[in-house]
Amino acid sequence: MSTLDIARLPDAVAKIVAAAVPATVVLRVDRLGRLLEAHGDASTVKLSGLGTGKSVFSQLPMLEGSDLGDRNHWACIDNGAGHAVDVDTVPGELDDAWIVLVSVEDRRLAQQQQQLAANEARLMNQRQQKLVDQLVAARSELELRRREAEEALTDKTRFIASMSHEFRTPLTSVIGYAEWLSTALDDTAQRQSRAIVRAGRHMLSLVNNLLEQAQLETNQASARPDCIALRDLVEDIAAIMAPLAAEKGLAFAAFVDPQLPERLVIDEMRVRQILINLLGNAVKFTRTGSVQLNLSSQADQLHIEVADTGPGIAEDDKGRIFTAFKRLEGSQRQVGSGLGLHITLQLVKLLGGSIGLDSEIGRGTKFHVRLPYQDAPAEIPAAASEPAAATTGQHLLLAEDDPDLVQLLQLYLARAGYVLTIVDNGRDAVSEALARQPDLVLMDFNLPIVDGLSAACQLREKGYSGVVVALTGATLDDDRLQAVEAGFDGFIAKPIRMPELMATLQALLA
Amino acid sequence: MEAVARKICIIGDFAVGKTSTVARFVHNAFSEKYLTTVGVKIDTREIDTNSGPVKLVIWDIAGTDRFSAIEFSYLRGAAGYLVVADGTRGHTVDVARRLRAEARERYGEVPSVMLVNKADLADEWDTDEATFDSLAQDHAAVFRTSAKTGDNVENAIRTLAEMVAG
Ligand SMILES: Nc1nc2c(ncn2[C@@H]2O[C@H](COP(=O)(O)OP(=O)(O)OP(=O)(O)O)[C@@H](O)[C@H]2O)c(=O)[nH]1
Ligand SMILES: [Mg+2]
Repeated sequence: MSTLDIARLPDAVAKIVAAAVPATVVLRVDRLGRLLEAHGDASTVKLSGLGTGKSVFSQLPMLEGSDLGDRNHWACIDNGAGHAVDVDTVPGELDDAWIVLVSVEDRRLAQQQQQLAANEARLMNQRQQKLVDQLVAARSELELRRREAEEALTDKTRFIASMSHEFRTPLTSVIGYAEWLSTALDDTAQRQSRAIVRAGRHMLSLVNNLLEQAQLETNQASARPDCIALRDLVEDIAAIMAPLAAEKGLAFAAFVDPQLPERLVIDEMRVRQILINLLGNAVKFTRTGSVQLNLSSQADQLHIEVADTGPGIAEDDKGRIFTAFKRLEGSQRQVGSGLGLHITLQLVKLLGGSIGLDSEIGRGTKFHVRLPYQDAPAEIPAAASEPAAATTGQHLLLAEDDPDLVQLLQLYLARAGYVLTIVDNGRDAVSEALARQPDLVLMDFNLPIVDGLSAACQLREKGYSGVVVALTGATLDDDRLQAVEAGFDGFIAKPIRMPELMATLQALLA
Repeated sequence: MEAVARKICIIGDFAVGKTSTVARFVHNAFSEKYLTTVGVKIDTREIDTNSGPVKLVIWDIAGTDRFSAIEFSYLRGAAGYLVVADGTRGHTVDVARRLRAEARERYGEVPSVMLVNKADLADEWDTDEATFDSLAQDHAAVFRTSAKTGDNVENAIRTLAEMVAG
């Protein structure tokens, strides 16, 4: 190859060559692409055996497809030999063309390092972003599933709540009539009617457990502390449990530490449920001996102790017995909803307390429950515990569509001296209450024509200012909230406990 | 019969496997190591087509998500395009679509074949059927390829070769 005579070159070619590094090759081809002359050291651009007279397209495949009659510039082309060149084609004046190859291999290597680092960083980012996207997608998928499950659970709760309402209404009648009969009949019939009362209450506690469980599952439950007379509660519980124990030939005793205040603030319904569950279990599983209830105050907490002389609980089972529907082996004969201890644990947690047990096989079991409570405000009159004295002919409107319950309420309310107006639907409740202005309206939630909630709203809107009390089988917390908003002053949960009803009415009318 | 030479450009986003596809086609080789292409790398291979032997001069162009003047100059005189995307990076399909459109705007109708590469990484694949269907409207053919296993690489490039040979 000859050395290059710059002076001979067209201006454009001379410019490129002058600006280029020494490793430069300049070729001249004719109209058909035959190589006419070649200048420079071809080995510096890794080209070998360039032969004049032969087609430049076959010697330099990179030129394929390009028109040498045009001006072209291609930057950084690896000609296939692992060496990068900038390529220019410049049309000549003699029906020829010039091709300039300038080595840029050093530049390429440097740029490759940079570009590689940049691309790898971008790839890394893209991968991270993809992971994040997948995570976000997975999370929202999970969230969707969770919400669906929650909705299903709420539906279930509603179902159970309405079922328990269905159960409670007839139970109210069963228990109420049996209670009434047990004061009115001869000895044998009295015993029999008390058996009905006990069975009814037992069934009721199972229904209550179901409802409670449904609420706990959907986190709808909240503690409803109220000022209560603890000893009355214990007496009440003892009145239920003692006969059950007696039937099995068990001794039953309940002690209340005199250190405990007369009245304290705690969620009575839940404490009652806890006591009934623990004592009910104790009586159920104990064959001989005794069941004891002890209430004391320890470190400002209510300490409940339920001790039995039953079969005891094996060490391995102690953790498991609080799980729903776990019945320990060998105890399949026992009846119950299998929820009792599970719910007890949930209730104790709900009230912010703790539960534990000591047990020895063959000796018995002792459950301990500790519940925080607050002292009752000082000057609350102990009205609720006073016997229901005959009242002074206060006027009461009863709106209830269950004829059995109406009859039963009539018995009690008339005996207590109330003057009664009775209606069986919400529309009449509103019109009668407005016409007669009773001191108190006692109204079922689920009334025909106009339901209790709407009726209460209408009464308040139309200026009725007496007391309105709800009779309700549903005790879901949000139902209560709705009821308060509708203008109810109080609630009586079905099944109605007559002494409680009387005390509430008296207190509200005082 | 003397082989006719044809310039083919292989285009797509960075790291989709353009160089690997050419290496599989020309040298039947594959490397896991990523060595990014700067500018253009030119390789040739002669194959037989229904119209006779063709010498493919393949311009393996550095990956980009948008053509600049430099890359447009590389595309000049190409008889066909191999457009490559990475099936595990869905957005590289969008880049492929854009590059194809830009090339068409500049140089008019030029035959092209679409390669959605890295088919061997099925687990990480995030390109769906609908995407394939819509790609099929823009290209003479669409292939799921793997430069790693060689799956469909030969098929895809031969399909383009048949179109540019005549
Ligand atoms: N698993 C797998 N990896 C591949 C495949 N094709 C390419 N790769 C890998 O992907 C990376 C990029 O491949 P290249 O062929 O260099 O990609 P490119 O499109 O030429 O990239 P640029 O030159 O930067 O535009 C390398 O690490 C390859 O090993 C494939 O089919 N399967
Ligand atoms: Mg490359």
